[in-house]
Amino acid sequence: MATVIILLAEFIFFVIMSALFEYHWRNDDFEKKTTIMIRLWYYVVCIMCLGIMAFSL
Amino acid sequence: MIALQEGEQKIFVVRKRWVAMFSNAVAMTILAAIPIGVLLYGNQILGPWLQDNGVGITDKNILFFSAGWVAFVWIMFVVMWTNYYLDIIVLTNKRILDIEQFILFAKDEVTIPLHRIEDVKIEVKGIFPTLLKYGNIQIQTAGAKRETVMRGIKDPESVKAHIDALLQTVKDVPVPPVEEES
Repeated sequence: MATVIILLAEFIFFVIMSALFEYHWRNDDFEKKTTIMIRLWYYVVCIMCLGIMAFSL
Repeated sequence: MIALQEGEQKIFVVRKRWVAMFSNAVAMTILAAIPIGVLLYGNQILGPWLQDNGVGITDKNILFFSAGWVAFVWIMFVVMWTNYYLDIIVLTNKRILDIEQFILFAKDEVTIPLHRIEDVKIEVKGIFPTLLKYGNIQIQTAGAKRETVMRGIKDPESVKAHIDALLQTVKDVPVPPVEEES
């Protein structure tokens, strides 16, 4: 049960932070190529980590 | 997004040298690796003792917490990188805009009109700043806040040369006199 709560908390944290990042990546002076690269790396690493957490429950 | 005034053209954008981010990247890598090492080797050392006391740490638990920790550190790293990337100096044909991002929702923005700049000074101190070509730029202006310092700027000599060239063009254009209120 504790691990499920931790996974849920981590997922909520990821969603909130993603929304904050998206706000900056869309509105500030980010170069198009940089935005694509950081987005790609950010989501790949986070989804991979969350996936590992979910599968190791 | 920087809103340009009428007739204003962006000359160039300067960011901080990657060295500013490098130390953070090293710290984050260590921070991500230490707890994983502790979990892996700690389990080998303390495993039998924990099992004797009824606490079982399985490989799945180690994987779960390691992945959670890496995700957390990675998100923190992206926060730092975003702050680093949003620290910029924009040089236009009318002004210098110094934007310093502290956290995701706190930033400091200084606008220096070119005609108010009195002096531009660069400061490159130490072995690493000299070899890696980064340093500080100090801009002296006429006004209440007389000095603006921009730290860790990539290639400060080139930035100063650009500012000096722009100042020369501004000096050639006479500043309109301020009309006195009657």
